[in-house]
Amino acid sequence: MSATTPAEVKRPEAMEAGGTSIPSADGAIGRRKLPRNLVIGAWLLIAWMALAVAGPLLLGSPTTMDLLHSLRPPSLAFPFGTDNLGRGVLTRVIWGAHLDLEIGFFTVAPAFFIGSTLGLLAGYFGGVIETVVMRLVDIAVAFPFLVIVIAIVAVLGPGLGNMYIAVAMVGWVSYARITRAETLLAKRLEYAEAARLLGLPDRRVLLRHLLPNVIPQAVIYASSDVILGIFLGSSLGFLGLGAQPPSPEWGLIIADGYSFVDRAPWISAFPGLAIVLLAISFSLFGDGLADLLRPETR
Amino acid sequence: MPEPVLEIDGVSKHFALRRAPLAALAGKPRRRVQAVADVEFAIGTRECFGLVGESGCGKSTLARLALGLLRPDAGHIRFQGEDIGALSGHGLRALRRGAQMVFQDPYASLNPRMTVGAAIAEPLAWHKVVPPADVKAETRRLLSEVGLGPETASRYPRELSGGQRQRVGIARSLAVRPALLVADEAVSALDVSVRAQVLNLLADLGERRGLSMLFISHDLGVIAYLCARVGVMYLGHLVESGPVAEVFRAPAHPYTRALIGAIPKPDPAAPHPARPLEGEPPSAAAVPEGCPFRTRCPSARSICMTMPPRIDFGAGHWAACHFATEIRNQGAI
Amino acid sequence: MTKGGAMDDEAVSDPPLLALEGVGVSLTANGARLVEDVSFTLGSGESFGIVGESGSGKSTTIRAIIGLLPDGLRATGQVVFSGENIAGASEARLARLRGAGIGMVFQDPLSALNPVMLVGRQIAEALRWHGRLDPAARRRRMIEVMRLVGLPEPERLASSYPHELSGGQRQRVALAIALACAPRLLLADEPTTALDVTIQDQILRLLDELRRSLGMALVLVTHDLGVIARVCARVAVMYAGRIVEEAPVARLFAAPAHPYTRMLLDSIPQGPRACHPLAPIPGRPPDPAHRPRGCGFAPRCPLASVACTERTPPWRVLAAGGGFACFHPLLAEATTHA
Repeated sequence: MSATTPAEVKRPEAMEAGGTSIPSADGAIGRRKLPRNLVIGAWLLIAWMALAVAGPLLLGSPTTMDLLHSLRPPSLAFPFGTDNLGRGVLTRVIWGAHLDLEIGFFTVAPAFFIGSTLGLLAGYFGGVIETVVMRLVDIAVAFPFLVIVIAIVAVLGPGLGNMYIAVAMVGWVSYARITRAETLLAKRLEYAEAARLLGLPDRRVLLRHLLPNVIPQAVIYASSDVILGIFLGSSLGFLGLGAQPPSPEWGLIIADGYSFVDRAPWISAFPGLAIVLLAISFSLFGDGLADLLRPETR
Repeated sequence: MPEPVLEIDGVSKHFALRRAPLAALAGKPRRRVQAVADVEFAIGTRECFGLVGESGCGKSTLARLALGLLRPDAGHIRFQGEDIGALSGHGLRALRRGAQMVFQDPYASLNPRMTVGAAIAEPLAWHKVVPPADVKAETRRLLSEVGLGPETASRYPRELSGGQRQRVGIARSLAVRPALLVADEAVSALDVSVRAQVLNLLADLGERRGLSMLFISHDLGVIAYLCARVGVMYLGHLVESGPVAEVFRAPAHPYTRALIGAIPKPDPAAPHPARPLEGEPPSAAAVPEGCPFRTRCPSARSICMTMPPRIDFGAGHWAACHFATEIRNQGAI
Repeated sequence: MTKGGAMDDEAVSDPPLLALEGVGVSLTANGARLVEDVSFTLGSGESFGIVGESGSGKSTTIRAIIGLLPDGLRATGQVVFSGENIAGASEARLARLRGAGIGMVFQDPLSALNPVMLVGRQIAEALRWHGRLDPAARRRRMIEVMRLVGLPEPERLASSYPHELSGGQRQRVALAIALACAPRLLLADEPTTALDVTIQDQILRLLDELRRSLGMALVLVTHDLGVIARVCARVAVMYAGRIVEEAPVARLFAAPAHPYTRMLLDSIPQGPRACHPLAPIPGRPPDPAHRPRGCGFAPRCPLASVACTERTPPWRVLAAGGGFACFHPLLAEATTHA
């Protein structure tokens, strides 16, 4: 009574059920759901951006002075109170939102692009390129970040633009390190070898195969770097080296309110709160992004 | 005599190890890892040649040498008659179309961020194997040839099983219509039943497309199934070679005997070899002088300090051992 | 040459060292059953193999025995070790058992060992955690165990880090850690899969020798039928989370009862394709979340009938030992108990 073993089936995979992947012992891998922090963070950021765009259109000017109403505590007319020049703190904070969002973006984006590119090239080609890039990294890292940035801004002159230049000049090193490490790992994987073996030129292997797999770590880092960038911008603003008065940048507002903190704490408190809330939004988004982009293991 | 598809002619390859800066200053020579030492064999058209050995024997390095991914330090590698060491540009592109590889790890051999269809279409488009308008159809055809449905093209590797991924890898390497396929432990990571499916697939593809194959594996059973001839490697040296049936029936090298004896057979009544192979293989950075196997060989004598000659038994069967004839006469394991 | 056949020198009526009864493992998230109704017994000094492919649940089963399931998995059923039900035991009780009563060896020796701790210390740590030996006695025992597993120059090797050792040596170290406290039962999950063939042979011989000399029972999980034939006296075949057949090794290979076992054996290359073409099992094992009703193997089984898709085949015991779960077994005559 022998089993009639079937003739070789032409499409054995056609018999699989459903086509979902094999679950690991950790749990079935179904459709990927968006992580909750990511969704909440994303909505918060959208709200911030809407506020940054719409707010200025709906409110009055942030620079209108009204000395009769200076240093008033929060009330119906001025929900965040007024500062020493009679300007509504709420108005100033909302007008400042777009500034701090810009600061977040421009402190990170140049460093991200420059650093990631250098890191990718260093990791892939090795040799002289890698040596040069890594030695530059070593030099930049030898100095305390804030000290260098302040020094460069002091040389170039205060202002947001110069601050962006200063940060880009120093901030690229983290991204270079991250992408280089990821590239070193990825280029050894068989799919990178297969791409080269198929005759694809280096630039294609780099852009089409390595880059998409190597960049997520840098992106995740960037999402938390944005928060540091905002803090930096506000700190420099507080020191007078970043945004210049009468710009309603939050750091500047805090600085203005510093002398009145005993009489009118709301001047500094509300922009400070705004910074914290924006940072939390980015933080949630970054965490969620990290969860989403976490490398898929079998 | 038809020209062989691949000729490995006295090929050697070593890798230099990094040394401490002080040692460099002192002028000490770098230590070298002899990955491949004076290997010689040829693969004909439609022939499947098996390469068997354990880790560190140099078979993966040899695979990469054969494909031109590495340059040999000595010897020549000829693909379809042409020395590949001298190739560049146009010639190199032709080599890329002529010889391809299937990798061991189905999980790492596909770009996780590329769909299956994109991965197969890429070499099709790049090498202009078919006109751009036909790329999609050709992709579907290739998928079907390896036993996958057209809907697989829109999937990502993470949605597929190991066996399916391996099939995708095979389809990708077949896209450029190679004459030689190098399979580096291509079925080792697969389940037994899936392994059998992929083995049959490779055999069918080989027949249908007239492919030559260099099949690398540590699994003698798999090599016996697919290959006509086999070479046994140990510490970078090819120690025995010949028709599969011959080599497995009457191995002439002590290492081949030990290897065959060590494999657990799916038969409880099979006798276990009396003397198992003891110890560990020496480091490839310190290959023993003379016969590389002498430190573990049960038959080693003082003459083994000299490099053993190749003893020929006819029909293409030879072994590099001073006592090859006696070993062979011991008969089946 | 005995191979740990049932009850070598012991009385037939001795209670089993390990008894699994209706063990199941499921995902807490969606209740999918990774392991279903697994039962077997093991006597002192016996070697028992569990063979199956990926997704069969064999590794999960063995982890369930010792309570080492990953997060998100829940075990049910009874696991009786030395007369004590340890299935629902507290973490403290299990921790005392692990390494002392029951030892475990995993597949990848590199990740099983702490890369920043000296090898000797890792072995001694097992002793420290479980025993009351003083440091000098611990060191003596450590060297003794290292010699036992065949590590050369134990005094020198004890001061090495895992990355300085070869794969075979690392697996021996892992074995030494598992054996340090002389466990009565050793669980081995694919212990030689990551090793070279000649080294695998050495380790398998070592396991066999240790089992005999220490009177230690062995449960060996593997996908390699050759390893089973080499080392085990009895074997269970798992498919889709269930044991589909259990038999003494000789019978399993000579006359398997379950079609899956037969087809699995037929999937192993036995010679050139021209002489022994393989007829592989078509399709793939089912996703635990979408297991078909009835017998898990039915969708791929050439003997499947309607009954197979409606009910799970019940376990039928064989007089000669072992049993199977199939409505269409391959036995010429199936002798069963009442």
